[in-house]
Amino acid sequence: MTPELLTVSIRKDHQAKVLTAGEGYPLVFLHGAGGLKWDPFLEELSKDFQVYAPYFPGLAETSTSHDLDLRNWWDLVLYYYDLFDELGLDRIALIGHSFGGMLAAELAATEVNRVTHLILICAAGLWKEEKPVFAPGSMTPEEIRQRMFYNPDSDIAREMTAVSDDPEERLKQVLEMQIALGETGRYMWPIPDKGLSRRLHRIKAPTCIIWGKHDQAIPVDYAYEFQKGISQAYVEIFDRSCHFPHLEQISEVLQSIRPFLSTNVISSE
Amino acid sequence: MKFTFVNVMPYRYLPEDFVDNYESSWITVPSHLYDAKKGHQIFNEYISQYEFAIDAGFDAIGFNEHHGNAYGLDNSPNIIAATLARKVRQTEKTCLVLVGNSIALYNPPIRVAEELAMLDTISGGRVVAGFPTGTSMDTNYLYGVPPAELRPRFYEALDLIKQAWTKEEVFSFNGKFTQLSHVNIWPRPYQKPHPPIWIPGSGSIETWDYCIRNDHPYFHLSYSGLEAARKFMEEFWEYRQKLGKDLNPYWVGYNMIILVSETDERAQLDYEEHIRYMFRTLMHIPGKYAEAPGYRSAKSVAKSTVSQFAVHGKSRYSTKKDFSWKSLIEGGNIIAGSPATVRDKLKEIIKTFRIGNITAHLNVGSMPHHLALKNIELFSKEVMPHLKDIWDDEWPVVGWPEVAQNKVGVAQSSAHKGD
Repeated sequence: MTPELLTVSIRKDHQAKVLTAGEGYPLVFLHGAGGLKWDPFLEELSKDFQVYAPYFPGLAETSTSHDLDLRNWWDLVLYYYDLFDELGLDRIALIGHSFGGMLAAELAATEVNRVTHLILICAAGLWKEEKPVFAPGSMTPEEIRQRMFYNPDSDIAREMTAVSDDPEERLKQVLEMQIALGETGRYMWPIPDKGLSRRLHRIKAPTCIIWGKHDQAIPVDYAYEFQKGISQAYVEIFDRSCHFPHLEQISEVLQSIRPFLSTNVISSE
Repeated sequence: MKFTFVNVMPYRYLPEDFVDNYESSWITVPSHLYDAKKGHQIFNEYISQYEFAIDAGFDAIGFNEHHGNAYGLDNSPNIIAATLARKVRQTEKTCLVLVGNSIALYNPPIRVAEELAMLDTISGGRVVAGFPTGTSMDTNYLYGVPPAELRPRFYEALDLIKQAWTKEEVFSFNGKFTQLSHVNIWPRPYQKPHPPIWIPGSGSIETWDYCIRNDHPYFHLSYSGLEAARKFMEEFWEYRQKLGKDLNPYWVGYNMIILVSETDERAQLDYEEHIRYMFRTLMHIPGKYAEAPGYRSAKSVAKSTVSQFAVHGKSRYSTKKDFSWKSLIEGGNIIAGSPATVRDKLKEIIKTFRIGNITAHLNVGSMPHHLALKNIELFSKEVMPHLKDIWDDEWPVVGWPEVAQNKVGVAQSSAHKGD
């Protein structure tokens, strides 16, 4: 299925973009620092849900944080609620990966009734001195393939980090990734801890925490840190995954989250 | 023509196997490679070199700011400048050029405005303020500024500093990054309205645009050779012309590594290993540190070829692989040879690029103290006197303290007074 690209006007003169596909209960996916691709995981979810995957401000030629005058983490959280309002999303299931997980947890801790259930995949946002989160910075697609996938030679690792042979296309890819890392970096740099640990207790939504056992970016210890802070949370570790379990072990992850989502959809309605 | 002696204050003692066994000379260079006794020795040697350059008649001595690295140990240009401010005061015309005050790193940035006002006060109006955005290594990785915030912070700090130096009333400043209810600088700068401001940069068009519109000299910071510089200078002058501005060479400065000896052959014998240490060892910086994502605007990245290197993980600081003497000379990464060779080369560069200011890096790489002194002496006696009058029949000096004015400038200002 090819997702539809929605262009949403937000805060008068500004523009957001959202990929959407499927029907059913609204499910919002917040992508990581590297940017958004309509990947097999989103494709699968769109068979059961109406999936909304917003581009982070500044990506895909949308208004940037600078344009929107978003100066801090709090401004960003409110921006996302404005976007949900524009999309008419009163109640949502929320999934966030990596940086998107940090944002998803914060959103769930802010307007606690709008997020009916929360899925965090290898989420950033917490900090343990003895297990530092991999410092955000420049990585080449090849380095991402080697360091962020359990099996760098798998089809999915190759597909997600493929670089075009065409120099112009390649430059475009590099630029898009630079923009994604730069724009999300505004809210993570130099340490992706903006106080979420002090607010996790507010999260009311049942929460499913998904992690790759071999995650080198955000060590698996953080799965349990999130669990400790959230009142209704369970952890699922995937032992043949690194930082992308939802792609590296897609069927197992789907098997785990489908019942979680349907249970909570029913209980929330 | 103005000459500023600059000393980046390198750490001379990284081991021979550094490049093979360590990740980077910046950010992660391990502290066990630093020897405090040697540090004590070289800091004092470097300050002596500045004193020697003052006596040798340079127009100015210049200072950088870098952090967490072996390439340049001057964390605080204002501290080194302070040790020399009183000596400068006793000269006829030597100025202090604070090339690198990384104003985006300090909150509130008025601390920089205050320290420069103090130096200006001590030296009696000999200070030039240089405000760079700073390297990605220094600002993003070591001082924690989010890359995409660096430039907005820089411009806000610059605005605040200028206001702090010029506004006569106490004022409030409600910025995005700095909020102050009472801005009030004491002491005031000695110079009126304030010390000249230079902006050092490495070619981003946003920076020149700012310099040209606000009448600040632009300092081209690059060791990347003459071809790159030629292209930059052509574009710069074309751009100034387009904005209807004059072509006074003093609007441009150029950083150069200059190595003078008795003969061309002798220069190679004297300096080759030391310059190799600089390019090979001190500039051993992987691509991931050279440019954090967001450090430059997407527009700038798209314009340059650096992003292409990013795909391969190479650094713009280490794209050059051939550090041979011949290649460095041919590429114009260094200007080296006998006094006559260096004179001729510099004259050609000054004239063709229209450069009014050269910041001369004369202590470079692993050069021992005696060799740096030799280089400073030969440059100041055998090269500088032959070039110093270039432009002074045609153009007034701009961007310098009053003591540095030439006869065209003096004549123009007295003509104005007669009006």
